[in-house]
Amino acid sequence: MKSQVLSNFAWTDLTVLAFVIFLSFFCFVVIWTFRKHSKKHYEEIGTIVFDEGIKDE
Amino acid sequence: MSTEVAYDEKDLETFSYDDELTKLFVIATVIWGVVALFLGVWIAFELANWKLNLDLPWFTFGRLRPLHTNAAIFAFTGNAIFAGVYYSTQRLLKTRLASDLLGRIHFWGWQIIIVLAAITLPLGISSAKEYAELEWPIDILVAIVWVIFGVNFFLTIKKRRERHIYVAIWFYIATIITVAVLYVVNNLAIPVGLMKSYSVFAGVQDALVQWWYGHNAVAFFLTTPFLGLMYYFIPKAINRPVYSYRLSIIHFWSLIFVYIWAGPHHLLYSTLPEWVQTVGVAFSIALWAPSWGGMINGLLTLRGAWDRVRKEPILKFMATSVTFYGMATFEGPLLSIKSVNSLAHFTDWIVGHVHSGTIGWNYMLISGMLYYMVPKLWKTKLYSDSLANIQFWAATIGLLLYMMSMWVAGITQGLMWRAIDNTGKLVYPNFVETVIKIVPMYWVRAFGGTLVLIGFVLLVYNVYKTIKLAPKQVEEETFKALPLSMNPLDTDHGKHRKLEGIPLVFSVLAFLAIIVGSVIELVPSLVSNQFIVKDARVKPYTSLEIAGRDIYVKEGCYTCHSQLVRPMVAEKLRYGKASNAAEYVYDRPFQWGSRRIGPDLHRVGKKYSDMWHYRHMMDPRSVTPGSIMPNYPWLYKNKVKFKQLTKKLAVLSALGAPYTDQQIDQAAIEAKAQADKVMRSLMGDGVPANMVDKEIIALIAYLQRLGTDMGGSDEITSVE
Repeated sequence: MKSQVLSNFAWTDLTVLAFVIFLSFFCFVVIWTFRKHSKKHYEEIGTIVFDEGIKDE
Repeated sequence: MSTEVAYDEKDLETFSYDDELTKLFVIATVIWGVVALFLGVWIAFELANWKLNLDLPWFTFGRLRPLHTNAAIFAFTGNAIFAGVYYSTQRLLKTRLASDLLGRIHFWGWQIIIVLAAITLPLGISSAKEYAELEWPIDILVAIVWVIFGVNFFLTIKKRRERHIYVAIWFYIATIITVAVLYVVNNLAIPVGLMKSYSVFAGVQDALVQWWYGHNAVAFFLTTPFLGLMYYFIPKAINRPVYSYRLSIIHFWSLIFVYIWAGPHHLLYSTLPEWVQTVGVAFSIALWAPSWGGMINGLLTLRGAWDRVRKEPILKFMATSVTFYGMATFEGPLLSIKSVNSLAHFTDWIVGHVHSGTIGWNYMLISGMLYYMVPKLWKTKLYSDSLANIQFWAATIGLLLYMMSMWVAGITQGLMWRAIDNTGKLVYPNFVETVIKIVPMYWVRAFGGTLVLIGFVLLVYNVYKTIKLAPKQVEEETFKALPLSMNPLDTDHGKHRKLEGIPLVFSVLAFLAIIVGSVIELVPSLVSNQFIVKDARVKPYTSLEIAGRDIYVKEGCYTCHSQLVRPMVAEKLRYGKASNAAEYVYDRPFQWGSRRIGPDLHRVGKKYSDMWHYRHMMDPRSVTPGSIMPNYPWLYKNKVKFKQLTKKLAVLSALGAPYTDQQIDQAAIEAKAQADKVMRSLMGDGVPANMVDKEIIALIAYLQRLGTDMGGSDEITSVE
């Protein structure tokens, strides 16, 4: 049953579905990262690499 | 960002970083780096001059090539990844590693795996799937050690003192999750003994799973962790933040989502369903965008500081590595376009492409990273900048020679294979003609590789002197930071900070991103009975043929010979009828190969006499003048292990091969009877009768069976 269903599945629909999922997700990520007032926030995160804690002298 | 928050001194927690573990991985990286590169150079010279195979089983190309690739990927870059990940993760999260002990188990476990690989692969203990050749007990060990690494990593995230999880850590998380999934699925097998197993997948399905794994080994072992390292070490080395953090987020999500789909571009023109091939190509081309987004982000981080790139070896290595990343990720999608692939596949162009990635991107970034980390870890200065500069130029020139010679060799040979004259015949019907033509390029490649190796030896010396001259008995540095609980979320960015700060949710999302492509591409093909139209003419291998096939697998024949005739005019003229999916249903593992250093063998059955094969394996040049194939004298001494055949057939039967109980019980007897038959044909040509139980007889039986079920090479039909 399961294999019959799968073997008759229209593959193009599956891949189109995957593409739609990816495209929507991609658009979401782009809109999310470029949302208003977030510039400063991301600039701050970018500087995390330089903060290793306060050196204990 | 705790430094920006108003805090009370007494709230600060004191901690140190476990740099001793990083040091161990650094030392392992340089040691295995020399081994991996030396093996590469050695087998490059073997191709230039076959005599270097030394007539010894454990020195032949077929056995050493898997050792080279495994050493380069898992030993050299593996240890480098761990060194870089442990160094950067602790600092990015402002915490010590969760467990020193788990870290040590990880380190020693990984080194034991490498040593076991170095012992088993030259002995021919191999499951013959590229970059996944290790047999099942070692596979289990790999999975355990990987999980230990993952557990320690996630526990470290849990005890962090930095709210935000920097993008480098995202790449590490994606690596840990995906490699675990890939490795386990691709290595699923049923053991026959301690050192032999049969893949649970057969033929086309095995090919699909293998290249889903193989391509993503490149993606999630050689790319994503290195992108994480790039996002950490380039800003550190140049002392300025990444060009665009926003771009890095988009880069991350697009890359991991798209990469997982690209595997089928290794199987174009194969018997894999057309839709899977097309999807693979489409996503491979789509990969251009995120790859270049990442490359541009890396290079632009160096903007305005090019004068320093000119002078400082660390930056030189890093800038070059990112540039080669850009080149390799341009070439990859190009090669996955079907018309380009039809020329390039099975040629040295692919080999050149792979090395532009592994040497250009991985080796260069590792070198830059080591030059950055070693002085910091041992609290000293680098011994010699000029030695590092010499290494840089040796490696760069060596790599360029490597790539260019492989372009020339690949395109030359690819064009020769397909050249057809006005009468419709092959211009170069003898395969060996196309080999002899490119041997000069093999010398150039071997020389280029030697330069890359010499460069690395200079690095080892430089690192050794740096460590030796470093101050002894330095006190461990300690740091202070606020605990996470004292570092509350900012109210204005509440929701989104929460999401980016919750590693579990993040990990699940990353897992979903890679699993979508995997499921859609793999599952229908794996569960569908209709996927391969069965052909009644295709019968399972006889017990002697199974013995022969296992010798084929053991000797790594797939490293030079494909078993896949593509549906192209030139291939039909050269080899015979195009391969059909139904012909592979009993192939565990599939043996399609990825490079034709020698000709395709899928239609070799009955093409030559038994005696031809007998002489060929003893001395290939006696029947094919100019051949670069090694001699296999041990096949005429080693005996076939007839006793194991019953167990082997029982396992294959459990996996679906329709053997009768009698065939399984009588496996040894039937194999001996077939060996007698082969022997009789050979004795007519003067072969001594005591050869009957030797490996060569089983191998001949297997080779003579190949592709004959559906008519063999003689039955010429129109191109499908």
